[in-house]
Amino acid sequence: MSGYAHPEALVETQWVADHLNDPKVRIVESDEDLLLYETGHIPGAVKIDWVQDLNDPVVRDYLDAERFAELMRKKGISNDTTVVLYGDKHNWWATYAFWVFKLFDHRDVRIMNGGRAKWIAEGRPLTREVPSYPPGNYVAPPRNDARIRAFRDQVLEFVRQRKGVLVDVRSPQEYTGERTHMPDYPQEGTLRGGHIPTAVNIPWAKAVNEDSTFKSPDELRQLYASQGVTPDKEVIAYCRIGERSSHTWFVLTYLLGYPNVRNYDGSWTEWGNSVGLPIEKNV
Amino acid sequence: MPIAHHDAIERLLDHYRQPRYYGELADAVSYSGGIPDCGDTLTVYLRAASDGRIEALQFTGCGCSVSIGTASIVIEQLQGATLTDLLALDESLAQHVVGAEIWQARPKCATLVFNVLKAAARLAARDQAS
Repeated sequence: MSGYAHPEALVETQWVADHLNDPKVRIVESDEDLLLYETGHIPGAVKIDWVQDLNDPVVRDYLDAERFAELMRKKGISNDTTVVLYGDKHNWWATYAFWVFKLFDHRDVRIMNGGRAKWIAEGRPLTREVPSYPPGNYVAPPRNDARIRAFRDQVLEFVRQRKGVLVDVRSPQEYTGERTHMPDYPQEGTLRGGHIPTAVNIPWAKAVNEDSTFKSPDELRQLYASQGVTPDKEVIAYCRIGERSSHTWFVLTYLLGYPNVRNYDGSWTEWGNSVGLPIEKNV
Repeated sequence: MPIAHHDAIERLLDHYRQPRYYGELADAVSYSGGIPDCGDTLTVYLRAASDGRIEALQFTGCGCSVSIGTASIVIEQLQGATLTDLLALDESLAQHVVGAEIWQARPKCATLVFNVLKAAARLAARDQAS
């Protein structure tokens, strides 16, 4: 993994295998599929679900500091615990959880390179046994949205003043407006198709190899720089609800070391349904 | 009596791994629906007799353990039902299939089959009336 800007944010499957019984490490599975963890998970891993655990149950928002601290304590996580996240779909949801952990400035959180798919492909053990840990000792600071999260009006201002570069990480069909959803996904989500003006299109999954591991630093640099997404610019990434773009946010921030990257989690479900917001469409 | 969380998980996973009444059906009314949030899709195939009795009911789909597992359970339970039964389906019944906890976590996945079944039944009823 040498060459990544923050190699400490990424661990290999072997590292996880070597730390299965390390009390300072908590392994956390986070998937799209609610019951995937129940079918078998890394021994000792706990589960965090993006809907049940990370979202506010009423408002479209993330949990507050009190709920986050409660969740951490319940999972046996303390402020000084090393949290290693992994999951399905190229770690798509694991990086989403990572982003939420960083909204609360959890110091040591890492992604297992290759995610669930690589662990299984390597023939490593899975268990259905749900572990139980003593409650963690956790104090969460107020959620810090300003640094890594962008809101609709900020994005509008960003576009108008051409402050930096917007990255639309959805599929090309969603970007052009041909679809309002990913290929093979149902099309009934937003009222308008297209993209936010000035955005470049770099689908999130271009950052990973077939085995779900991240591409090399050189490949990633080339991928983003070729579209003008360079570290000297302020960057905002978006997708449909902010999960795919959290993957790109992780790549740009931790693997390439871009200093100023935010995730617009309102994303296209907010922008494409809002009255009067500008849209570019290529079809 | 509400289903226990553990029992609901085991049953869903069993049906997810081995879906019952799975596959396309020829000479049938079909209706497809999905959940944009997560990408799950489901198609129901329905063949009804002139008296409204369901002669064949199957499904295909691509989705998570909750949407596919629920579809398999519900469609198995509805074998031999009538169009009237399908039209009367209420998505709140999903709570009894998946339990309160899963219902709260993935309500759209748990209710997808109910909505698709009702839409297919409406199509079949319309065809019979015309």
